[in-house]
Amino acid sequence: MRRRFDTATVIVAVPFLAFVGLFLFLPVIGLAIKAFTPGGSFGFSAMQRAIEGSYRTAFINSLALAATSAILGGLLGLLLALSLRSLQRPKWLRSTVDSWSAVAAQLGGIPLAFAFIAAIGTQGVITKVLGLAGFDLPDSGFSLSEFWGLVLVYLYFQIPLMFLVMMPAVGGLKNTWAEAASIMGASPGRYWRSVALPLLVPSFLGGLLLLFVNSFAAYATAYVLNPGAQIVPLQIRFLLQGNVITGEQDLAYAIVLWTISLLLASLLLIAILQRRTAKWAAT
Amino acid sequence: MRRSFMHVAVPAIAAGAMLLAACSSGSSDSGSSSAAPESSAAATSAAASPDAGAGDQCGTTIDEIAAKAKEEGKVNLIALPDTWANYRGIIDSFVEKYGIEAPVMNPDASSADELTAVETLRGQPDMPEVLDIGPSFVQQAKDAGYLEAYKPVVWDEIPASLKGEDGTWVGSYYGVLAIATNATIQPNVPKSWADLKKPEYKGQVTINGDPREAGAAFAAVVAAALANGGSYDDVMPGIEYFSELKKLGNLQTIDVTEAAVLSGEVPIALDWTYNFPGLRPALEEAGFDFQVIVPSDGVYGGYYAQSVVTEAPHPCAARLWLNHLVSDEGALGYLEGGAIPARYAALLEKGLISDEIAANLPPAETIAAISFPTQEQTDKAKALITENWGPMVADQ
Repeated sequence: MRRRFDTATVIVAVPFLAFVGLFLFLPVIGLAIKAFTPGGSFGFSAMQRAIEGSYRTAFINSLALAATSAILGGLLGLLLALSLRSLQRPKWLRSTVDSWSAVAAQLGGIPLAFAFIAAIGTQGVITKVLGLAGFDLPDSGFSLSEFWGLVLVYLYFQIPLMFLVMMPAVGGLKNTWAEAASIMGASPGRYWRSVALPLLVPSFLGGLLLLFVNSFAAYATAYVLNPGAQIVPLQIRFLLQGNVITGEQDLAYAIVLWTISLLLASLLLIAILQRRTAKWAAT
Repeated sequence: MRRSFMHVAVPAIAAGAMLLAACSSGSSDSGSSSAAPESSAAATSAAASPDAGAGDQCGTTIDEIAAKAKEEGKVNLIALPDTWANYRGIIDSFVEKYGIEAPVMNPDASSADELTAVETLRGQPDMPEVLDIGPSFVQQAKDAGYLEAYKPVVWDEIPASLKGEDGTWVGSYYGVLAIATNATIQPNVPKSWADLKKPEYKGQVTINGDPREAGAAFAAVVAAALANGGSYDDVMPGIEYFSELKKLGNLQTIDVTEAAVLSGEVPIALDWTYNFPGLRPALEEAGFDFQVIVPSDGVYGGYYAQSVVTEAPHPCAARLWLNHLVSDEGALGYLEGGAIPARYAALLEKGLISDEIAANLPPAETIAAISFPTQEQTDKAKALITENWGPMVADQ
């Protein structure tokens, strides 16, 4: 079926496309050119160095951090959505969690990091209270600037984000399906295995990728918690904006290009998975 | 020249990457966007031929330069934080003495930011006119043609290691890497690099940022190397030292900011001597007893290089500012901020350094013993730290 663009669509689309072109595609193209022309002539040396040595470990750390916080945040967010779905009372709880999620999913950066430092940093309120109770948090090996500290802080925005993403899918599970399954003799376990989970899986995976990208690119939060963290966004900072390393812009551009490629690949996957979800819902 | 996370400026391109993630994911964590200084309409017009022979145009004595500078009315400064080496006091004395405006754009800028600002604002009336950059940035700036060859009138009194022979830069002040302890929180004040390994300092030793990015942290690694059998040519022992400190659980790597120090988050800080006098009033108000000690086993001095920028819109005012920095008055201003002026020996000879000022400084013999690494040594140390800090320390 063929459709012509109507005027309204064009009026809306042109400014958007112009914006995206100017502020997304143009910079990315410029970046790619610089990444592939280290020192002024065409070559792959910058792209190569960007995934070697300590930059390789930065990518590995960032991937591990993003994957861990995505999987934990994804599972907890899904559980939250499922438990709220079957919860009828009290009525205010659902709307409270909804509003909180909408806010918390967007909360990040310096304020969030500071909130955690004030609570469980080495001089934090909770740390001090635990200290009085005889538990020395800094001595226990936990630190906000280490891997699990970062994961914990990231979870604060990952869980509500997953909740928001999963709520429509979870809400789409009709009670009649469970009833139909049980009439046909399926156990609750069988119902989940054969009906509910296959329905939820595509959007769950889509949500996971979203969380993954979200935490991979997190910059300000990580910077406040540990300015020396061996992760990709901070490595880019060292190369572009420091007082020590000079003349390594090309390497920084190459790392950014790798990051963008990674994010683009993730976005592509999200798109494919979401199409599958939509197909399922349509049939 | 330094960093403060409240002023984190991500270069536009990096921000583009964040934007991509942010747009696509409705992400919650955005990089702070780049802080390009806004340009206001300039009150004064640029001098006719700002570059060639401007030194002569401006005159050769302070009075001549000051008269021309007064006509220009303004000098654009960059990257001079108020509490850094008493820059606020030095700027105030300059403005008062010469009646010339001296606004500081982006006071917390890093050296890289400064060079970016020159590049992007070149030709505009607000472009930065005098730089204060880490020594490792001098070559890059020189290659880019940013540094005007200008020798201030007291040139001969500046030690050779603190000036570029061609006149492109002077290092008008330097600091010594110190161990500063909040004695209210940690009464047992460490005196040396070796002391910092003691178990009682678990989680307390704070390096100011990351040596791959922050000058003070870089200096800490070099100083630790000197204390542990290394040299300017081999800073590996310094990296190994911090690796061990990290494994012992003594090292924490948050930024040594005023807020972090005042909250008690930083019981022991490794930073330049000149970063503490500015904090003292606030610390006293908070009831903290703060003690700044130059470690007995590894002394490292670090300077920042000041240069007049080429094609500056206010060339004479820029020259006057550089002269002010190295003048007796500027030098005493630095001393007040805990920094050691380049003309320390000359001031000592003139009898300008009172006992009161001397009390704020490391012992005279320590100052006399300070040497500075060469450009090649710095580059070598930089390469070694860039390569090994990640796997040996950050990742441990």
